[in-house]
Amino acid sequence: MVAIFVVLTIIVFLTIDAILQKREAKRLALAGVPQGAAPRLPKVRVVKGLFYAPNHLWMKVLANGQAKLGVDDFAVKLLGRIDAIETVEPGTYVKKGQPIAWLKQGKRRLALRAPVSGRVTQVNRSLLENPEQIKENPYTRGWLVSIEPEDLGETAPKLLIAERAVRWLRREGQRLREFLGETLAARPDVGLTMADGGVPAEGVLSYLDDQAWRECEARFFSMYETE
Amino acid sequence: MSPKIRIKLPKLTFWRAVLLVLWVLAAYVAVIRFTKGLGAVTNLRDDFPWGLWIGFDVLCGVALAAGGFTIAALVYIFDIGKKYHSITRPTVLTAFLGYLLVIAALMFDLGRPWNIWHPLVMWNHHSVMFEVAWCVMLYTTVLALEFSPVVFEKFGWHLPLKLVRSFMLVFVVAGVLLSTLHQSSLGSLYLILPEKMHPLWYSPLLPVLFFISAVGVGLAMTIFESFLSHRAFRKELELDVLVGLARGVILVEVIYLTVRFLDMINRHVLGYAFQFTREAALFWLEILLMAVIPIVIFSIPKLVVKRNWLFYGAVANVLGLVMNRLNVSITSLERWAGPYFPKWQEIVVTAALVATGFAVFGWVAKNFPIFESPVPEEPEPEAAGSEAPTYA
Amino acid sequence: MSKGILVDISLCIGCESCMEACRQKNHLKDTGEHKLSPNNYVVIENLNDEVFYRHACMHCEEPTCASVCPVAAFEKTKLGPVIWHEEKCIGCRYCLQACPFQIPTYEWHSPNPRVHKCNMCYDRLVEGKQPACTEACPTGAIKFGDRDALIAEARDRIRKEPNKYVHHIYGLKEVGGTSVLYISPVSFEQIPFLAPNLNRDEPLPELTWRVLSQLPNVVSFAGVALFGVYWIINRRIQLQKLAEEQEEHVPPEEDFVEEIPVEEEEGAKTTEP
Repeated sequence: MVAIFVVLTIIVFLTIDAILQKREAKRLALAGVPQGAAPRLPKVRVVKGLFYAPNHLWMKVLANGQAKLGVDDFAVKLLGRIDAIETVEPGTYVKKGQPIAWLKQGKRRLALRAPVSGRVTQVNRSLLENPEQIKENPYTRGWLVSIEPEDLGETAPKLLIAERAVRWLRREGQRLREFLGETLAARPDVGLTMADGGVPAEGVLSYLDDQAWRECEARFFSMYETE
Repeated sequence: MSPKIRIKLPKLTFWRAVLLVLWVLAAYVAVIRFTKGLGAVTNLRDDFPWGLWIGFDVLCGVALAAGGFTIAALVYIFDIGKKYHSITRPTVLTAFLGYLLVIAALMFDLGRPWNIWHPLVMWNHHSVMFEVAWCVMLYTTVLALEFSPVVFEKFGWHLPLKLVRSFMLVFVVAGVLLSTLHQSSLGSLYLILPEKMHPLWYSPLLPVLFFISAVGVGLAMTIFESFLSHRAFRKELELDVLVGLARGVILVEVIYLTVRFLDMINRHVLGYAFQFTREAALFWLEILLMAVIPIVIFSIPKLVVKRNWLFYGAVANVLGLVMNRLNVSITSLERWAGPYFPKWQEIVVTAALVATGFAVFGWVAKNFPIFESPVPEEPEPEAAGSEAPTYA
Repeated sequence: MSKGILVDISLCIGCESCMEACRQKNHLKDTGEHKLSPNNYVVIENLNDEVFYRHACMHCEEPTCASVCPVAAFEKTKLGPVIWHEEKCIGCRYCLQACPFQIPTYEWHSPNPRVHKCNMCYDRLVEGKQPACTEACPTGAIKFGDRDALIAEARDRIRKEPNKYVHHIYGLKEVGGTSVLYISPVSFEQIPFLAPNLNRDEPLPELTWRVLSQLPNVVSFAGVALFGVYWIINRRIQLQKLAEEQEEHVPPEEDFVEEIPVEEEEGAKTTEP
């Protein structure tokens, strides 16, 4: 009888737990939090021949000295959902560290700061109209603006290219993992996916609260702000 | 990124409330037990001296912690593939906690727990219990060492980390040996009761049967635990890993059934299983849960790849093992000694210990890197950030 | 010389003088209960109104309690009695569980519990006296003496009155022999605490010792086997790695970063001056 009793007790406890988990899942679903273990972060694509700024902008230098700027795949994967993209108007002069474009997700904006100073010559209108395109390939059709830089000689050597860029991106992945682990440990809904050292999820920013969003922006996208 | 352990007042969830209530009740029971004796809080008596605390907390506790040595052996010694590395840490942690809880339960159950160290100096190598005591002490130490890298990593203590790692193989081999010895010895404990136990459970092969079933449940517990971690921590389920373990369960349980039934046939006691008795019913339930159901579920290719069915199979095996241990330690003796059912105090202490185990596991899982594969032995040569651009 | 007690069930009249003597000698309370307990080391059981028998420690030659005790709190003395050392006991109660005659009893209601059982008045034996119970027995139903002499006497009694006794000395061989011997006019099958082990001549500790004695073999064999398996498997893996390295450099399996080819501009062209 003891055996039966113990086995039944265990079954009862497991059932209660299953019911509680289900209710919690429902609650979270109502709150709009994506369910289940988040998927692994798909690989972050990199093009070796581009310069990368530490705030995840890439730069392609053309033969005429102009440069195309775009955002790298890391940022795209981190955001997951991009509702709209804004850029400064052509002809605007931006100083290094000033915002040159914004990625919008709902009410939130992620400012992308220029790695070089110069005058914006062109913006990618077709991308602005169709922001989802950026996901497809942020390095080609997903370019943001063209700029006529005035300090390229000085800034370019400080950017990352080729194998250095690859290594740097790997470390960024590690940094992201740590960031998510630290920031989100307290959040039982999304946080635990990461806090236990699990793999960062694609689009994790889309279900973080505003505070975590700001923190993330500060850590990964604000390198030039102080300049 | 300095590692720190968060201490925050936790939100009161259902399970935390349950834990709290259990702790309060267990504390009350502890006071009574240590002032008025075992009789005041248990239904134990001279002809039924071992009850729920030994039957469940100790026998099942040790068996359910068998994942620790099974997985360690598979991963480190038989090197069955990198993919299993990710489950070593949670299983070692479970085993370690399991053994700590067994020791905690013994503090309640032993009449004179303050003498628990006596086997260290007062030897009786004829006693199975003596061997079990030593194995449990040594194996708990080994488990602590096997788990220590997690703590060292967390706090960045490189020297002890290196030291422990260089001896890891020795620890693992020692752990496997010690486990083999005392998993089987828990069965040997009952060898000396040939007349008291029901023939359905008494067998000269008890140590062998205990060992085989412990290996099986070690695998099943790992599946079970991965599933619970998946739900509680949103950890990804590594299905290929778990399916591999499920195959292992099939193999082990088939061996178990073979040994068990051959032994019963050889001893001419199979007939007892076909009598219309309580014992026979419990016997079949045990066999069904521990072996038949898991074998069936895990052998159906369509089911074994579904997480829910994997979970059901593993749970069946775990429940079957619990039944087996309780049948050996309690059911089989009731025919001779009369019925025994634990007092609520016994149940509360057991529940409180198990709940504490879950709580501690959750806490460690949150604060230590246990779901990660061990960090590679040689860190990348370049110091982090050396190539970060200067922003000046 | 090993001492013993011969119990002749045919002579016992159920007067319980032995129980009283035992209580006095051991300073036990008379609680009125009629079973082995911390207050009763010996009990006279009433089988039917004519047959009474003694229920107390058998003082096995190879005591199960002494074998199972993890801290060797039980000792089979040279004189015969099996005695318990309080200071060693950890309270695991394996002795209660294992005793084939269900003799030891426990102080279930004490915070510092002791195990109780008959010790054949070991202290008296050391002084050269006989146990209190045999001294008190008015009929000679329990008789103290050298075990060998008692066996001879038991045989003698059975031979002289073959119709009165069952032709068996219980304890001569049971569980490897006991210091307390029984002869009886009724079958031992009828005596509950003796029946289970009737004619089980193998000492119970053998059952566990058979397994425990294999431990050194298991440890050394399994230890060597485990290291061996590790060595073989790792050697194979090493060789495999070596072979792979010679063939080609295999890129790492999983990489967070993936390199992609870039097709030439297809988006809006940048104006060239």
